[in-house]
Amino acid sequence: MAWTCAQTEDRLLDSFEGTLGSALEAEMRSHLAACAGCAALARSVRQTIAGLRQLDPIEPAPWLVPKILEQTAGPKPARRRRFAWFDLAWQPRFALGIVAVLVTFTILVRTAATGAPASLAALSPVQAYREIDRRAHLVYAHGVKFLSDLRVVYEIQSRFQPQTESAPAPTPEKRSSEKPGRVLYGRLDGRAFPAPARPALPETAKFSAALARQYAAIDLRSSWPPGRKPWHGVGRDDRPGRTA
Amino acid sequence: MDLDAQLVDLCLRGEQSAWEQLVHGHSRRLYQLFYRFTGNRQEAEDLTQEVFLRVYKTLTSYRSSEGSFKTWVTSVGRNLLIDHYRRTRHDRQTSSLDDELSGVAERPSPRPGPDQAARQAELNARVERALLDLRPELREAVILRDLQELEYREIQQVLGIPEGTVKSRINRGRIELARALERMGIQRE
Repeated sequence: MAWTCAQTEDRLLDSFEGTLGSALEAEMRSHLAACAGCAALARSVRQTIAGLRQLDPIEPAPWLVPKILEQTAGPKPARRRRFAWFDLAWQPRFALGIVAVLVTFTILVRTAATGAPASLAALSPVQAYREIDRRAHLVYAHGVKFLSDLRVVYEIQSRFQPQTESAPAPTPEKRSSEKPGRVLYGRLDGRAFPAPARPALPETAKFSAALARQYAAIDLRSSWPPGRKPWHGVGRDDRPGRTA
Repeated sequence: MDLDAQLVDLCLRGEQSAWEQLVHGHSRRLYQLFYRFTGNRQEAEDLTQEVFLRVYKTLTSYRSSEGSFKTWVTSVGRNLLIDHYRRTRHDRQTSSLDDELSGVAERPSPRPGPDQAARQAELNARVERALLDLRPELREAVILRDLQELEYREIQQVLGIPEGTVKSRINRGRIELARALERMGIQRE
């Protein structure tokens, strides 16, 4: 039985996929070689399959999947972040709140410090700048004064302390050269300090008094190098017993 | 058990991320199926949303032993398409041939640019048009095989017809499509 055009149409798919079988495939090939219409149809169907597979994929809208998820599983819960509260800092209301707190704090501090009633004039930038500048200078001055006081205290201590360790005991001759009738409390760089009246010392000053009594027994001049004035070398550590 | 079946199990246990993976994995394919069948983006989007709503509600009825999730969800989509086709039959019958042709002419080119790309875009538009002119039972068979690239066994499950009928419809659909393209003058070059 001869292969017909209808058979060719019916078995095209099998022929394309190689499932026709060798005998039927040979019959179809011979028919296609003889029938121009069927050959053209087979070629056209091949082109159609290729054209279908070359169609550009159509992408869905980007909102489609989120919308499906929202419609089915409901809105997605917001993910908790560790520093999510920090996002507040970028909001205008947060910035306004911070400014309001700072202004209130400034007014309260100024009122408490100066005793002056709060006024709107105090909020002017020039006034605020002056106030801040004045306070900064005051703080700086207090700091400088504190350091200066500390330096004086340490200077006095450093001048007294070595004498108690290395100064020799005063001789009777030296003591007799002092003016009679004058009680000396102590000496510092050759200068004599008269003994002050002794008020009742508070308990906390007992140690200072004991120290002062020790200093009173020291005669700095007795160990001073000959030919040198007591005021020489002030500011330098050239006291007896020390090397330059 | 394949990955989709495991995801369905997780979904049924309340894992929302599993459902998200299923939607991400199948939404694009279903959208393309609906678009190729209807030729309309809006309708394809509506159908895609609707099919997932239906799948979400009937997820407990899925049995992995009866077929893959891909086949099952495609079957649900195909049932939706049938309903949609019946609903919109009246609209299609009243639309004029001029509207149909103007729809083809106004279809935007996906990649405007050189002449070759423009020719390819025009060819694509005509293939899409010819596909839409196929009878629905042939169209769905051709789409599932040549565009969705499903196996014959999967198409058989989706359409609920014997494999011989599946092959026959695909073959007939391709031949009618080829003849339609010949009539448009874009074959046998």
